Amino acid sequence: MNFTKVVGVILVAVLGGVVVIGGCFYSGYNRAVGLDEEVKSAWAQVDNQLQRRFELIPNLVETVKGFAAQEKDIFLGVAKAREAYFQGKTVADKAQAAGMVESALSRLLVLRETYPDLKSNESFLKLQDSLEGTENRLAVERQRYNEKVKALNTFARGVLGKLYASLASVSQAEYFEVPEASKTAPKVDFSQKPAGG
Amino acid sequence: MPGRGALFGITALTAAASARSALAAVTVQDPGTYVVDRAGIIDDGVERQFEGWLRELEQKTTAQVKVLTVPTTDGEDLFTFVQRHAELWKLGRSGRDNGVLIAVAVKERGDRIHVGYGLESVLPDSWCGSLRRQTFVPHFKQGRFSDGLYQGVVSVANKVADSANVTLTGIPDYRHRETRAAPRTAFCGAGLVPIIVLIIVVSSMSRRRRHYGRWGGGGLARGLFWGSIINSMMSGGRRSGWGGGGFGGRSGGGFGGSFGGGGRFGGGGAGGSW
Repeated sequence: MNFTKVVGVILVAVLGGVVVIGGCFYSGYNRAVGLDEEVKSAWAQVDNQLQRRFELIPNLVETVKGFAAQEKDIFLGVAKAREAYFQGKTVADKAQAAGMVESALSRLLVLRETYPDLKSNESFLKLQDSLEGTENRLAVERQRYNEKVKALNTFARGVLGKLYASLASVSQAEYFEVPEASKTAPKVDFSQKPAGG
Repeated sequence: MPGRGALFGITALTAAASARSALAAVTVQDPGTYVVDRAGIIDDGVERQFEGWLRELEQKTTAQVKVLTVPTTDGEDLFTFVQRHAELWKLGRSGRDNGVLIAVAVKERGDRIHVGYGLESVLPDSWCGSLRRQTFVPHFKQGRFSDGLYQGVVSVANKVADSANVTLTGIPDYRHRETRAAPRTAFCGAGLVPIIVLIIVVSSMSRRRRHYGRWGGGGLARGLFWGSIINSMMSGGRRSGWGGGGFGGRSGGGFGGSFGGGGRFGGGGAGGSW
């Protein structure tokens, strides 16, 4: 009788332990999956804005060409950067290419100083507005994406998090870093400052 | 300096809330009015008209359009400044994200029409850009802030009201139309729709989590997050207190009422300097 009692207690304890540990695994697993999904949806937002930027570029190039057809190097630079983006596979590649696009675009937009007619061309101004909007959204979504990556990576590097993440086959995500090259490149300045600025 | 301290609530809240605000000294708390004229550039009469129209706009459409002017952003980039305040004030209803913040920084000679996710299709960037070029820029250049804002705010209010098929009482019939420029692109029409749909779908999927995500996981940050909610509730309460016109029934109001209701901003709109 005493023996069965002891066995019973042990059984209950083991069962309880299993339930608790199982619960931990369950929530840890779900957390890993959830964080991973958040990173993915945040990346989708970044990608949206990058795509939108690429949809705007041909129109911008066409408009500028109408005023400054001789600036072939600049048009070529934009096309190259665009190509590099579509060939990029990883987040780092894409970030690198996005940086190239940024500096190519800034050179394109600076043309408005050389060709004053551009500055008063309504379709150029509107494209510039749309592009500026895209750059701003990109900055916002990029920041949000990096915050999600941080949350995931912090979790997945913890002692237990590592275990849960590998169980859920979730790996750490890459930050969308602004490449050094585009940090040093002239900043894309869309604002219409009075002449000279 | 003391005068500036009185003007702006420089709080630890935002200082701790985002990494960017390490630089950001100027933070204006939402006082619950539709016009927050910290720079003192809007005529009293115009301000009263704005308050009336914008309150009516919110009551009829739930969209929150607010105007913020500051003497300076203390060197902070205007976009960052406006995005920070739009998120802090949480303009627009949660889930509809129908907020707009129109901001002017006098010293930086900068203005911005900042549009929440839900109104990006009603107020596209290029529309906002051409509006500010035609209303804000020419008037602001001459220091006539009230005149410029008048046309701009009326245009935005009318556009939002039109999109919901309502009319605001006593508002001038001024509607800004974009001059149709040559290459209308696929992006303006068909291309944008799926993007907006995707944004709405994805953001509604992850909205609940996002709020926490953005404010960081720490107990301090979370406390500040709740602090800001309580803060905005209080400012909402204050507003329903003086709402003079006939909507007393709302003043008992629960969430999503007349204060910043949790709307989100993704950086839409347009801005520049004059």
